Amino acid sequence: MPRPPRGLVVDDNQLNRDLLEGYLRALGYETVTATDGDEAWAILERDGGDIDVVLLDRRMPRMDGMEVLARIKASPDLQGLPVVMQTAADSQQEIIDGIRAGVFYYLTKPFQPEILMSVTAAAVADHARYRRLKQGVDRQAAALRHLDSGRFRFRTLAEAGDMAVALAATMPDPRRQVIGLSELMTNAVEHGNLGITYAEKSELLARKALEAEVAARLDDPAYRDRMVEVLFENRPDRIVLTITDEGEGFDWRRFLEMDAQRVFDAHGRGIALARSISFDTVEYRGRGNEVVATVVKDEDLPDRPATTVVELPASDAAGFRMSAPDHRRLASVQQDLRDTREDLESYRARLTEDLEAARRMQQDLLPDMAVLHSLEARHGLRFASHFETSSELGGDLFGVHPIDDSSFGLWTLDFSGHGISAALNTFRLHSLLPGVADHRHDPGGYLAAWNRRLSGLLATAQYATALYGVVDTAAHVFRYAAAAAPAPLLADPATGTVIAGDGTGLPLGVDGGGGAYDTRDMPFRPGQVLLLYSDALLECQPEDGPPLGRDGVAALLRDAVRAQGHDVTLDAVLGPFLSRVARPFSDDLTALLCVRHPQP
Amino acid sequence: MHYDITTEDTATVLHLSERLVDSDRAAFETVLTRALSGKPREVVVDFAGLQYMDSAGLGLLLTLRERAQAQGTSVRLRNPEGAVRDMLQLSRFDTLFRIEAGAKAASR
Repeated sequence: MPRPPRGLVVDDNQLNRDLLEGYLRALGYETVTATDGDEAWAILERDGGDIDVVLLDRRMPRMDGMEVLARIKASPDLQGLPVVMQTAADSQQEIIDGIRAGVFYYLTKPFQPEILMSVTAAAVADHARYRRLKQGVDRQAAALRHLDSGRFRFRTLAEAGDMAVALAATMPDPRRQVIGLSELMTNAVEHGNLGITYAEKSELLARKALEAEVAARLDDPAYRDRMVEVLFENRPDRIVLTITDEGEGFDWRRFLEMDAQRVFDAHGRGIALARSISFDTVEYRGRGNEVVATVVKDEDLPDRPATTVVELPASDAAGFRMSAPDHRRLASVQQDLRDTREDLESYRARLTEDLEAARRMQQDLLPDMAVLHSLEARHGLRFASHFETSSELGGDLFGVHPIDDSSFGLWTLDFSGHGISAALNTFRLHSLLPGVADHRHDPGGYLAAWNRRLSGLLATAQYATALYGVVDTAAHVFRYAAAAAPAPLLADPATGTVIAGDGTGLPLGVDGGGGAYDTRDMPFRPGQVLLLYSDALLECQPEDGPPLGRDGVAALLRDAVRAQGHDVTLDAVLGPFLSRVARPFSDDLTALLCVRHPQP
Repeated sequence: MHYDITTEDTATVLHLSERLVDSDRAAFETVLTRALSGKPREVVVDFAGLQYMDSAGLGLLLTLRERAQAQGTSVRLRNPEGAVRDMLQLSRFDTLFRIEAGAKAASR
């Protein structure tokens, strides 16, 4: 009777561990627990072969879930082990990251028992197939050990798998050799007979369409009669396998060792893997449609240590022959690559998490909906905004704040550059806001105060363009000051005209902070529409023409106002621009629309 | 960005052409180092061939200004046209730099 499945529960929270263990026991599973990634990895390294599923928490101290995952996926012995990742219900990005890293099973907290059990059972069933391959190898070992020589032909990937299992059974270390046999035979079908190129395979894997393409080509008259032939010879000192396909061959030299350009590819490791862990020599011949793999029958050869480095013998033009000790070097290179990849992947995972956290913090700097709604109600107008960054983090910011019953302030600000350094400056600026509140009724004074404070904080070549304005609904005027900002635009739905203000002014943060800023004004009457925006709208280049420039932006507003009157939406203004510009933008885009209700 | 460096009396002249934009950041570093090497009395930036400059281009000019000031070199801008002149005006760079129009023929 087979033993019950065994699940490894990894969670730093005692309550979650108890809960998950309880569910697994209800499924009839045995359980093992770990309280963090370090402990989990120690268990996997020691007993990974006896574990059928890992329930992995993503966020843990010491080694986190993503790093454990990267190690599992990088380990030839463990990479088939199914991982069920647990994550907070609202973190879509975490799930996307996890799927990219090879997690196809997910649980969200709080756990729902039925889902937890069905997902876990599916994972275990999938894994059982992989395990059967290895067990198949073990069972056949005795029967085929005495095969002396043979000639086999096959056509499909399923047959390649069966053949790999059968032939591995004749070899000294079947569990190790089945991997390389399977890789070489799969190559002979996919890349040889079916002519799928490396680039095509990458693309097919990305679309999850490899299986369908292989099936289609196996049916295609151009390929369907092609066979792979395997010659097996059991010589006194070695086993020699010759695998020949009927394809066009390929540039095999590139694939004998892993290279740094391919460590992030979804495939392309097979030949190097076969060479480093399964065989003593792997030699391609001719145009690359024939490969000869040998296993030396040397009982005295110690288990290949992964750290010994030996010199590589010179290769010749006709073939690339390697002797047994080269395994050690290859294994060492392979290990180094695996380590490097782990480091990079865990670094990337951490960075992604940090960026996501920073992005949420940046969103929090934007005006609160409640503040916007209260200003809308108090002053008889409505706002609309568009805030889109060119990467995870942006250098734009905008804000509004109440002043009194007839006025409020609003501003847009754009730090030079974009990405992390610009984003840090948005946090700096936000922390300065309370300190300049005294000037909120006085636009020129307000920008001068920002400028004084930012000058001490910004590095050279970092500066900000900004516009600060006060909407006065009693005097029907927009009073503003600008620091090299795009000119504010005012549209009048009654006439269908747009006038531009003046954005001239020294950028903030340059020249020691001594600059003065003029306060200007433009009429802003009931029913009229005010648009503030960042220079991305001027400068981003549409796919089918030059950047909009000032006249182009004014035309966007005019067209939208003529079409929709004072009901104009920001979507209608920006739509024609957004639909023509490729994402992500080359700079951050902010647009702020303020529409006064018409007087009754 | 394309550039050329010439000498006029005691000044080094940096001729910029085409576009000065964010992607020129790295190249501009090299240009700066070359233009400021030998600590000339003055660096003249000639925009006669420059058609377009974006907000990142302004930042590069600020970098030039700070580096130059640190070693006692003064900076003058000349021949801004069209979009480049608009950009300098919008940012009130006339308060930071000496800016000269004309003299195009004499500078070449």
